[in-house]
Amino acid sequence: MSYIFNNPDIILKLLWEHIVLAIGALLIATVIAIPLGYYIHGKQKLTTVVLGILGTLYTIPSLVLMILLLPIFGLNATTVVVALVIYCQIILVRNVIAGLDAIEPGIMEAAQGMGMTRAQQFIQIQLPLILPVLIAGMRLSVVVATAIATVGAMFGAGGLGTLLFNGISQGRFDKIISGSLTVSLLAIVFNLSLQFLEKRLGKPVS
Amino acid sequence: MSTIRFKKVVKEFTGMVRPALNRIDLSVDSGQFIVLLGPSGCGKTTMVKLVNRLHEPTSGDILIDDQSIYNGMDVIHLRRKIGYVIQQTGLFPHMTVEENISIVPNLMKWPEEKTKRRVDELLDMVALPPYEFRDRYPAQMSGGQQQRVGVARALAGDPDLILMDEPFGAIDAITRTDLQDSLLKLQRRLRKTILFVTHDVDEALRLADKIAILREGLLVQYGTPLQILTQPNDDFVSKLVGADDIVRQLGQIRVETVMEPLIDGAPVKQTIYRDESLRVALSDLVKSKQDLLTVVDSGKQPLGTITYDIIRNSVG
Repeated sequence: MSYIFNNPDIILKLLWEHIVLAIGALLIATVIAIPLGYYIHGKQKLTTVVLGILGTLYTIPSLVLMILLLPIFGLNATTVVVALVIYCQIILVRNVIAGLDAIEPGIMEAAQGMGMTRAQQFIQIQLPLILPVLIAGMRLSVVVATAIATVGAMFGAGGLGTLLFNGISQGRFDKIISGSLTVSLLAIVFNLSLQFLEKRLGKPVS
Repeated sequence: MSTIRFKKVVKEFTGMVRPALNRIDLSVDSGQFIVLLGPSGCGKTTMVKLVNRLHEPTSGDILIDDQSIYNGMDVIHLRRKIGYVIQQTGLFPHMTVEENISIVPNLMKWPEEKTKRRVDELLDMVALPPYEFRDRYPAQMSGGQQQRVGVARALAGDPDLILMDEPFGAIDAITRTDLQDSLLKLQRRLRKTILFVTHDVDEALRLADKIAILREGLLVQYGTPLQILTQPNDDFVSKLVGADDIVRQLGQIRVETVMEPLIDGAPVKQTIYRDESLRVALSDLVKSKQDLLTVVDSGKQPLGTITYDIIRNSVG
């Protein structure tokens, strides 16, 4: 613990790097998952195939996935972010589809029958209605990303993992404990804040 | 004004043995309340969804105001000009009543002030005080209230033509009667062309200017409620509307549809409201020991007369 108080500048710098990694990956993943989920929603076969692929990718150990990506993206934060984005996809795409499926067919029929274009239907009706489910997925994703980003330190992405790996090689338990504690705290804060957002958005729904 | 004409319309769905609609010919005059009646699977909902092009026909043509809806008319534009009410209300749960009703005006880019005024006007029209209901969410209202909003929303863009697909199907009997009354009053004022789908015979007889009876994709009869009751085309229609039950028939025919026009100087004694059934009229005649009732509108203005003879000639 004393390491945290004695080296606040190091901790803050690594914490910031870690936040950028996790949030950056989350945002990129969400921007990909929404159109992907929207497109494959309602197409039974395609959904099975895409979710199958994403699910398989999710089972690859993080270290292995990053090593596989290394030749393509190099030894830097990009490799780590790409890996995180891939891990988040299965969670986010599945939730986008679940959200769209949960919308009562009558609602979409009314929207269409009233003369809304597809874009208007999505922006005005579907997106707001799937928001709570989407945010639930984002919450889980960011926690997963926070945990896995720790490995990123080995690939030159920085972040709180640096403390862990340094601690292990130097035999410094104080560094290991400070690193793990801060990562855990970060995950908890992410989780709580998105949970709060999720509840705020839980407007009355028939 | 808005007339609709179905010309030899055929609709087949893949994987179905018989067509959902088989060479339908139907003409609807402007301002008429048309009920499409039949058991489930008869094609009545399909027919309505062809008009706003949620379905496309296999062959045939549909004309609105003598113009084909398939020739150069933009689908989005067509739909915005047609009011649409569906059974599960289709209200958007994340929007307030005001936002729901404002959808079509906003799509048509009305100025904000005009839309606001329109919302209040419509809420008044469907008997929901605006100050109380404007900001509510659908989940904060009863089923009947929700469907009133559904009707208001369909009227928002002031369409000449309104499609209603079993709008009161999921609503309890008492509230349904209430909504039917409101709709009749509203229609008397607005004179829209309405296509109304139901499988409820009583509802059809009560509301319709004309009823189109469908069976397995075929149009079996098209006529006024009185014609359907007194001259059913075949056994199916006869059974469907219960044409052999005279008391039931009396209960379904509105006095204004059979009354004799007013002759000057006829004494106004016992009065009866225009929407009452012949059954009520008969009961009033017996109770009051009169031989004539004067039919009046909501302003107590006499419209015509009803006698025993008229009632007797109306049925069987």
